[in-house]
Amino acid sequence: MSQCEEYRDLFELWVLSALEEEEQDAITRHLRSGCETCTPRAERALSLTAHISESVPLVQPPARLRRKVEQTFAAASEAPRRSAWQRFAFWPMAGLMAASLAIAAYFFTSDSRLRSDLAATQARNAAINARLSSLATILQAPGTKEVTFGPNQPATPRGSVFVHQRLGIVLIAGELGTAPAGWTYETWVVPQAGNPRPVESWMPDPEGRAISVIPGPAPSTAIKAVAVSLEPPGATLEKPTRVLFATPI
Amino acid sequence: MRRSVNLEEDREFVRRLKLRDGAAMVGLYDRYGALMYSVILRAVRDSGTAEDLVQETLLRVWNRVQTFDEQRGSLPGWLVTVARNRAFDYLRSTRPNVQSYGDLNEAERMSLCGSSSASEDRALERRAVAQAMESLNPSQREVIELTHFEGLSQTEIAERLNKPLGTVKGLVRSALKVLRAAVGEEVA
Repeated sequence: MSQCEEYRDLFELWVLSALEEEEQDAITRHLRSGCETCTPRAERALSLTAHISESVPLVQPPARLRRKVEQTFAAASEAPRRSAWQRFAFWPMAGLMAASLAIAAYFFTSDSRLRSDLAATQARNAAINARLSSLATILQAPGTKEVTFGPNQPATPRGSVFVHQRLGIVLIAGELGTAPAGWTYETWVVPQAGNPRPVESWMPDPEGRAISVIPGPAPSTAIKAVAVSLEPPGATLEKPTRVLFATPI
Repeated sequence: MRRSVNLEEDREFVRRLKLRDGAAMVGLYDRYGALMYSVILRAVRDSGTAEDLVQETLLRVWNRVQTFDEQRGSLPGWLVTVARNRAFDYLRSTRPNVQSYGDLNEAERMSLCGSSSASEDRALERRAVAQAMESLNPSQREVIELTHFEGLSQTEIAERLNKPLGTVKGLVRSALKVLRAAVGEEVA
């Protein structure tokens, strides 16, 4: 006989803890294992034993019991009543708790999205760190040449270009105007011979400031100038579209 | 129709209790207090003790109501079960030779409350069980009352009635077969 068949007639007594200790323990363990046959039987046994208990002849309790119940639960209702300070603090606290729950729910339910966002953030941080490292290296290197720009240029940007033939180029600019919608800024290296070469696209911050870093050996050993242009969406970058300034090196 | 109203009112009681409305507990007592008191009094046979245990039962309900799913379980079935368990716990604590058996904890028991007792047919089932109890022969009814109303184990019943354990087990088994059939259960 299987365990399920063995226990079949015992669930009502099990509900009442009226079995011998060994049987009571064995059925409890069996139900805890999640048996799909016996769990519905235990449910039905619980229901049947409740019906049997309800068949008891009704006896009216003394009136004093109701008064005791009233006193007990009137006090229970009073307990959560809040002081003036607590009432004042209730809504901010409730808001804080709701926000905490929302954040917890977000993190709980968006675990995969969170991991993806975290990976993207780590990648962005790594790129920023690399740029800062290149920036510091180029600016501090003994062979770096600095050229300022601004005066006598067709546009207002002011700033400096730092060039190191082996380590790379840094362009620091300010007073950059607002680009037309969808347009981007482009840094160009103008060699002594040949056409200008686009090296980095970027956008200034809301105050019109930007740092463009082009690490690595300069694209030309003989740099004539560094230029910045504005480029429309979908520009082929075969040549600068709207030159803002060109700084001779 | 009346059954539907009762079911809706029970759900409203539970909803209010979950909001910590103490007045709802008094209303619950007005509706089911006599039932809980009767179940407990039948077990402990002392009105003072029964009064104390009714209050303990209500406190247990108050503290556990958040775990009760009114959409799945029957409120009177739950109340009766809590009251009966409280009474049996009391009785067993007064019997030095009765051990505390392995049992499901409260949360595990709550998970079993999703039976058909939640349906509106529950009142019909209850009446059918009451009628089936009347149909039992005196020996069968006696053992069912001792297990269900006084919390005695089959061994304790055999000792009290001075009958062989096998006889008691047979009586319990045959009585439960009748009672199960009354609620339409397949009988082994």
